[in-house]
Amino acid sequence: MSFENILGAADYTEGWEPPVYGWLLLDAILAWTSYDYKKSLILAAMAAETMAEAILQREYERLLGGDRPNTRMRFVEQGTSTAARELRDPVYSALIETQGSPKMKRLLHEAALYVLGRSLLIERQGLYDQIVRLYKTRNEILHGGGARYDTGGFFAHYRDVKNALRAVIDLCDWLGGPAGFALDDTPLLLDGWPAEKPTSKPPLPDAG
Amino acid sequence: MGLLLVAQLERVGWWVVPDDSPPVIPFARWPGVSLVNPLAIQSVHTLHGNQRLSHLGAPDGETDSLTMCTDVLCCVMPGEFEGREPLERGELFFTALYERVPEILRQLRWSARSPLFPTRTAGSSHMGAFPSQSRADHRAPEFGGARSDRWHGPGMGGVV
Repeated sequence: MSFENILGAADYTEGWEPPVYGWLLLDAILAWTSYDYKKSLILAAMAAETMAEAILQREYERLLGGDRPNTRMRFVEQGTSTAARELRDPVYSALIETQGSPKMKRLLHEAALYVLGRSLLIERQGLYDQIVRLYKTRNEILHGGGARYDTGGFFAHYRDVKNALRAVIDLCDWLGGPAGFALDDTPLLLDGWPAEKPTSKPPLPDAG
Repeated sequence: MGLLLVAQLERVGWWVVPDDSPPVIPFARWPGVSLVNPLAIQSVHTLHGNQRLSHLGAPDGETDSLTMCTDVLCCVMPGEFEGREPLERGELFFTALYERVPEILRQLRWSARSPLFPTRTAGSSHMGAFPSQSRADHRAPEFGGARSDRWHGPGMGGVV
């Protein structure tokens, strides 16, 4: 916490409200520092999904409200009556309404490519794989009773969860979300724990 | 004369400071409330440590702990309590304590993009939550509180 942070906080005015995904990410970091690793993974996955949805929606609404015709989007008037007709993009709706694990992939690739003109899969496949892996881990924890270590998900331990959190922070940067999430300076009591595994076993005591 | 509100990991306290003592940062969300540069606490303590509102229940010697506070949040509410009856002042103080401090901490956490302020101890801080104990338990007897031994206790902190 720097003095600049305090100055920044003092400037928030009535009606100030940070994005929900921001709180989810902070809670995920908090859970990580509290050694509550499965909770941290779940919250991190929720943060990633909510973040992608919110930022894509924000951009969609910006394009929808733009003065100039947008050639990339397919805005059409829809509605059952004249009064209820509204401008929307059915292609975008179809892209973001997919449920389940494919939804995360679609948000980061097709929907992002459609709305932002950029795809995480194309630009940063490594990060894309990490986020998809995180979402898969989340599903394994919630629906399978726990993170399974044989399916390629994130392990529920310090270093792997830190990597998952770092991936979500990187996703936030890629999407153009709020910057500056603190992760590396967390005051862990056992910084770096668990330690690296020894490369060799200690010698067995002499049988004699 | 204003009240300096100090919230730390497991303690919440108050000290009386003149309005012009600490370098305060106006808090935009609530006019009249200011954040205090934590670095100023030492001088506040040095200059005004004995000017506590003893009738609020702070026992002697508690100001010593102030010098050890490095990660603290302070807010000064000058004038807000002026012209009030003592009982009402106490109520206003605890209202500020329980309603504003969590929100101020929330804003600080967001500003720092870190969930850990003000504590530097892992796993001890929780955003937005506050002790479940009745605040009346922590008020000085003069203000209807049941506790008379200490002005803060274990139930006050841990989640500030």
